[in-house]
Amino acid sequence: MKVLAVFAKEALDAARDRRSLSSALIYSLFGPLVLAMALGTLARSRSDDGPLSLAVKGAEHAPSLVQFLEQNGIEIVPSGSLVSLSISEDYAEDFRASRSAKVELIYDASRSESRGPVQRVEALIQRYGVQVAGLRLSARGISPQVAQPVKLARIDRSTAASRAALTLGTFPIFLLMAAFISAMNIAIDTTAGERERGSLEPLLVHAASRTDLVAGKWMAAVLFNVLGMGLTLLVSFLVLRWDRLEKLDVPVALSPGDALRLFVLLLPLTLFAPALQMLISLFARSFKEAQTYLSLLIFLPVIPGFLFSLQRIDTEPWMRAVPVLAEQVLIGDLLRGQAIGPATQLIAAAATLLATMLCLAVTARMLRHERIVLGR
Amino acid sequence: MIEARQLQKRFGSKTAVEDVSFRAPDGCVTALLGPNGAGKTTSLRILYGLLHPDAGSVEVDGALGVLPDTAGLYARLTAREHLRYAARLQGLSAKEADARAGVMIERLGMREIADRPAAGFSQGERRKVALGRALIHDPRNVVLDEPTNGLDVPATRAMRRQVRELAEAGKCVLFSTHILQEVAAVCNRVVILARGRVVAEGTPDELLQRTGRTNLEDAFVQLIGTEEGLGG
Repeated sequence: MKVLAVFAKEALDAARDRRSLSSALIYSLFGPLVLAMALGTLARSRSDDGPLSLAVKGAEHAPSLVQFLEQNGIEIVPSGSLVSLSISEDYAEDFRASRSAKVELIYDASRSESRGPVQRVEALIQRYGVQVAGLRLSARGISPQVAQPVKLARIDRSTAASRAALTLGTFPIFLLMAAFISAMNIAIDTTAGERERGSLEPLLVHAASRTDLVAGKWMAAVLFNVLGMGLTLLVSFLVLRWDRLEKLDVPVALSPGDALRLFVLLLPLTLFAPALQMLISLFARSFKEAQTYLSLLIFLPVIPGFLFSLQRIDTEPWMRAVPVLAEQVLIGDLLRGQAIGPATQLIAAAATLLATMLCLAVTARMLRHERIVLGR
Repeated sequence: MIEARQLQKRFGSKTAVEDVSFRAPDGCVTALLGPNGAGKTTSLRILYGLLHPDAGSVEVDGALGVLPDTAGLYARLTAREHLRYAARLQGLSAKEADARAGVMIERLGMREIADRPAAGFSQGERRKVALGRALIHDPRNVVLDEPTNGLDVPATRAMRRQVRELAEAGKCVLFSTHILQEVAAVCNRVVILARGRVVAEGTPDELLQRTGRTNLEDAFVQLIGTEEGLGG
């Protein structure tokens, strides 16, 4: 079988190429680690119940407020906290006279990690205010409810799993990008690289069909892509079991079953990406140019990815039949803990595989074009 | 036997091959001689199917082995792996491919470089591997595009010997060159190409007779009508 000979040669050649190997492996290892770091930071900033240190200037003017804060998990420190409170000298006098007593919350909004503490201190002070107001009204014989015509109670309907999906909004993007990275170098090397080295012409004069050549090359690229994707999922699986992430109070851990389901779900995309990359590389005039195009191509899954994670987009039926987009939707469903019907998954797989065949057929056709073969 | 009939090829507005017809018989070395830019590579590329002619046709009876103008080796593959790959692409089984690769390594004197990666090969070594690849399936017809170009003297002599041996074994050998001495050294028949046209065809003696010259160089210059583009 000529196609197997091509596959064996390209796989061997790529396995000896450090650049191909490193591009396949580095991302698989570092992508999930970067995600873990992002989640770790999130875990730290979300730790609402832990003690929060707060420097309070003029604490002596408002002993009851300070006491209230301390009772609610705030640790009063002399200085050096991310967020600090300044109580005005007039506080005690205003308080006694039932005027609005002034308290300043000092923070740096450009530091995103201050957002949590600010919200927490603000909420506490508001709660303290409502309590005091209630006491004052009661003392005047008025029900505190008079001052609170509408009471808002928040009821969060999201399940733990759906909150995890929100937190892990970037996770699908990592996975989709993984499909476009591991095989990138080998896809270029076997097409634009082959032509640039001058080895395309000797290759084409052999009695092998263009289809055999393209299919064999693609299979080798797929091998790398599948290995890269497997590794990405494995590392993600391990990273998400990390202790620290438990602080997120949502079950982000990927079960082995989920990891496997993700792999199956992403498999068609893992086959599609190298086919598209080879086709694009063939149109590039050089190895370098192909690299530029394919680096831009990595952002293809990022575009819908960001739209999905930043704002809620309703999933339209047609999205399930568009390669890349369909996988995006399915991964989202899976991570939200929704059941995926076999028909839905089949449609996505069929659409992506069809696009793969199309890319391969066009690539094989392109190899008959003189301009493409001679690189003019 | 290789036969080209009234080949014509344009690239955009530029005509690379205007009218090329010739015949390269079996058991004979036929040289496609012409200055740079005469249309030699384009004609050969049409012969081995890489380019489609705008007009004319090509006939090749039996298998064709090709040595293109670039060796085009894979830096990370050894000489043996190149030969094996070529054999597999020609449809040989893995076992046959191993055997043929061994035969080519012996015949072309590649034993020393057989299992070294091609990255460190000299020009001559690269050309040997490329030739081995072209002959791997023992084709009846062989096309070589400037096979001695860029080679040093020993490598050139070895290549010429290989070319002669192929013809002696009854193959049809067609090679292109812009070097006159090459013609005298190896070939039985000459096809002279200038500005995309065949201007003369025959044995070296016939060409001398036709032009009334005593040496090939003068005959050649007279036939192509210029000294431009002639290499030494």
